[in-house]
Amino acid sequence: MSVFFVGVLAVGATRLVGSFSLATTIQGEQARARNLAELFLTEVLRARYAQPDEPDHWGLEDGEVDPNDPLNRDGYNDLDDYDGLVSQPPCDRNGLPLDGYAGYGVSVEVKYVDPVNIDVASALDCKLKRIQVTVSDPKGKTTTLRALRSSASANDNIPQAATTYVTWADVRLRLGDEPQPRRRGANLFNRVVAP
Amino acid sequence: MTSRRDISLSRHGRKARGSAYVFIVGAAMLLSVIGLGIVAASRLQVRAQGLSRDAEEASFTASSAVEHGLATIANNPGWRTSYTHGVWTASISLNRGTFTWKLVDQHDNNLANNNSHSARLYGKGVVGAATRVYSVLLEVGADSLVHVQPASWRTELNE
Repeated sequence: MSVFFVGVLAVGATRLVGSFSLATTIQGEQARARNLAELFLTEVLRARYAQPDEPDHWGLEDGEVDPNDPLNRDGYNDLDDYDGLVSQPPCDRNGLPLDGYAGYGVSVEVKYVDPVNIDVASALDCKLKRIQVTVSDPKGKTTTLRALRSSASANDNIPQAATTYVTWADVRLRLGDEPQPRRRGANLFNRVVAP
Repeated sequence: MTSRRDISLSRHGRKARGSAYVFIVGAAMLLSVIGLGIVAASRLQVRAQGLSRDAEEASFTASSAVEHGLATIANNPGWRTSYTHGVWTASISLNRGTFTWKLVDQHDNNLANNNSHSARLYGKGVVGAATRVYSVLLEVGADSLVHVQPASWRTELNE
């Protein structure tokens, strides 16, 4: 009887530890998915609302993608350049695969929306765009993050003299003995003149 | 009739059984404490991650509130009379939360009485237990349009 009692307890404890370990793994994957979504969303938000010389053009303009390096997003300079972007495996802005994100995928959607109803895409430019980043993790679970950008945003103020600003920071954090650094993006809401 | 040897064996058996029960109860208590500790740690971790996720999403939601306010004002030349100083707009859903914004006339608490007065636009995002508020200062430019004053974006802690 006592052996049975101890056995039940041992099995229960083992299952508890197992479920705790599984939950930790799932939480880790979800946290990585959120980090990835934030990294992409902040990268998109650092861009201008529209191409200054072709404000009505939707999508990438000529010369913004290097045919020899199609994964490189260095030429993406306005929000709608990112519409339809699929990055799998996820790559950073320079087109290099992000360490530790094997099995993840990222897609970006940019739409005009009317401020009166931001849930429905608009055919007209109502001076507001909705950016949606969707990340799928190795188990197929998706994480979606949305943000809005206005054409009157501080990012779209045209300075009186040509100036180079820092609008976004790519942050890499290595926590404890994690093999891969965590990547985060941060938007600088107030413009910082590049040194 | 019970012999002295039988009594000794019986006492020894009871002693052994007693030790086994103490061991079992001890092991059970130890496993219970470990189990409860694991459950508590797991719950705390889930809660901390949830709060962190809420705070991050609230940040995007609050910045979106500011952008929504800017677009709404840019689309509405009569915004000074459409909105009342210090009154939050109706909440709009975004991500897992909601946002709202308000305008504050920093000169005389009246948006409608002077077109040249600057106003501060506050955007609030609420996701779960997290709330974030950002604000920007709006000024009227030489083109009579409203512009965000450079370097005026700030995080509000007391809204």
